[in-house]
Amino acid sequence: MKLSYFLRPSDDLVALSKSGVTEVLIGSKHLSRLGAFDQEQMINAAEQAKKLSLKAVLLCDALVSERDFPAYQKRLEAVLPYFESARALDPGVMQFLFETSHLKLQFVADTGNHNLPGLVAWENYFGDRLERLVLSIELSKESLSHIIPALKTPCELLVLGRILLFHSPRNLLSPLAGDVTQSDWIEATGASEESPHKGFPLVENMQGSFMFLAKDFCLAEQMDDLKSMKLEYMRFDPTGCSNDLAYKISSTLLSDSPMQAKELWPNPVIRGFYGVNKSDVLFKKLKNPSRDKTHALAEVLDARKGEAMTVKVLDGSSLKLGLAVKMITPEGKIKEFSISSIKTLDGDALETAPERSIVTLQAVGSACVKALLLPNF
Amino acid sequence: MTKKMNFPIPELLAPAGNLEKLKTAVLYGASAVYLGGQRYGLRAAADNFNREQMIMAVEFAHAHGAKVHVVLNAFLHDSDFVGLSEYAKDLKIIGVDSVIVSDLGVIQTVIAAGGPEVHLSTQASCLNASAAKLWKAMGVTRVVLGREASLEDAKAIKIASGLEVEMFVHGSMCMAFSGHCVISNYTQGRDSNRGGCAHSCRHEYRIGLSESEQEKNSFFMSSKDLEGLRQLKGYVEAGVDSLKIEGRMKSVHYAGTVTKVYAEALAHYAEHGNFLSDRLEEWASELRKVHHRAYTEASLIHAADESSIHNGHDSEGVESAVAGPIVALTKDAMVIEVRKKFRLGEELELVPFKGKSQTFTASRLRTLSDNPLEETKPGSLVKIDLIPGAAEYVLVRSTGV
Repeated sequence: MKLSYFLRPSDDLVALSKSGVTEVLIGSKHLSRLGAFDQEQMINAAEQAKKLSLKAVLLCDALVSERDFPAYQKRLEAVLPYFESARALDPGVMQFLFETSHLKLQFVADTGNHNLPGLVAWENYFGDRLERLVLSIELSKESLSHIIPALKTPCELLVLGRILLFHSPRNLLSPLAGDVTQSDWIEATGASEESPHKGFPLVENMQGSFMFLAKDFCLAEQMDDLKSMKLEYMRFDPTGCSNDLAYKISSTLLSDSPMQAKELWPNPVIRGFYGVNKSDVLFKKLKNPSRDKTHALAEVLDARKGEAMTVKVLDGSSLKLGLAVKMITPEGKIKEFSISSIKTLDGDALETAPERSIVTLQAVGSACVKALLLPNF
Repeated sequence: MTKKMNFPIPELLAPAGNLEKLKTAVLYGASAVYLGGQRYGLRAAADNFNREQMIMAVEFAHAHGAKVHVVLNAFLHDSDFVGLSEYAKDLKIIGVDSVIVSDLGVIQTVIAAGGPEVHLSTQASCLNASAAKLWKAMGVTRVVLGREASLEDAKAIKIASGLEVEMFVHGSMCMAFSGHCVISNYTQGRDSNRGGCAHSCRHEYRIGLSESEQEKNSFFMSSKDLEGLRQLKGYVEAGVDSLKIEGRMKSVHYAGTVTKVYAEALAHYAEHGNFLSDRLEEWASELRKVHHRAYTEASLIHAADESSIHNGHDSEGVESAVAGPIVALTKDAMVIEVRKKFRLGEELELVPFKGKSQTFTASRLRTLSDNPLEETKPGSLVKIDLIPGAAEYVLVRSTGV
């Protein structure tokens, strides 16, 4: 596996090249979400990287509004000649590069894009110009094992670095900073007052505001898995780590003992969803099963002690005298009874109540609003 | 654009969290509704529609000249695709007019299955003409622009791409670029892009600024709600094809009230070619009677700035104003499903599907068994004497008098 490194302006490319890194991602403040280079630094870094036989990849992963696109395009065009490849997230930036440049393209498919049909469609669209798909760290080992071999495009996955949780185009920290800072790069930490989650690193820069998980992502111990999947590129984001340590970690990730990178990394780490992604299993708990109307005949609209109970007959259903029903309250209490009286709201007696009608039934103990009537077979 | 009367107006697309809300929205003037099925959407906790309900929804909407768009806007994992092709085919058979999709894999699957036409969800954050061209090549016929897009952006994107353009006109907004927030995934184990958003952006946070070592409490990630009423002219001039109201999880009162405001404003334009109605302030006032955070025009004109941050807990609306919808009429009474307590003799307001509200007094308040009541209890049904204009699904509100 080859190592792709998120380059910082303070990094020493000579030292980095000795660590075994294959390519460096160079992002400017204007063109990338979290790159910190200015344009001149960026060009210099790209040229120096090439001299050191490091591949320089233009990181242009900002999300770009239509109103900002002309200026973005101009800045992009000014630096394209210095790079062999460009990496984008915004499909509009990808399309622009596809139409107007000859660069090889790397698509950041880490927002959504959690399935093979979608990834194959990107591959088919960009054809030979697509040299890399940057996959989502929300994909589990099982998904990655299935997806990576099925793609003809080489894939990349973050193996060590920050987990980006949130990106807003709005400036959310500067209103809090007030006059304290005129900086175009504000850093902070956030702690939720309503949940136990604390220590979220926050950044505001020219591209908006970002929040990261307090723990970083690390698959240093899963290198054998990744190799067996035929993952071609791993990415290392050294943010939060000193330069010298970052180079040491880079060479460790490429060594025979990559798992030691985890010990070297200064922050707590998690594997995220790598083991398994069950982030949809809690959904059924979001719904009250006692409110599942799929098989319900009617819903109680009004119930008063000792008075007739009013129900609405649900779409596609009907009620009739003598029908055995089971009433389930929102709290899950069940009461069984047979319908002995059906009346219109004007008090006229009925044999049956058609769908969508509102009728009164006999008084039923423990009846309450929103209880459901189901057939009691 | 749908043609109505003298001047063409955009589609007014209202949220339909369930069949009751759908009917309410349509009767109050929506020319289209969007709703979710039992799977593949982003509102896992919503009622959502099963097949039978979907059929009824389509029948009702089409009978009233409204279209039905079904959201399939989750970002799916491979295992989620089971049954999607058949579902897409079935939606076409049912008569659904389009599906709203954010995931390219889903787009490919729906198109391959011969499903309804595909609209790109705002979750895909389509922000520029270049992206719109790409999505057009992928087969979509309409893009729901990211909420960061301005009206000028919309105009340029529509012209350059040749696609229909849909924009939000009202409702809650993500602070993040839509589809670019996974806070719930990592803090709650709930995939926000598969329907499990825990709304962590609405929490209060203690922020420690590195530079100043200050700590401040703030709802810094909570956005104010969008209100596009005073920019409707801009929407029309930009050629926006559909104006979307957010809020499938919101109340019947919200669905009816907000839809009515925008429908009446658009109807005024359709007749006069302008929005210079003497009812503008009345409409604005109506929008303040539903549950909402403070309003903002967000990025419709300029990029949303500090003033678009909702720095507070509380809703600023007076949802309490709703007494309840009329659920049935008897020979001499209207039956109201009480959502908020009101008393005998209180002044109430009937909100007809069109035109101005009419006030009346809650007289002869009684239970369905005709036992007299002094005051109502939320969740119950009560009878009040019938007044002209009463009809099923019409909303009744308290005026607070």
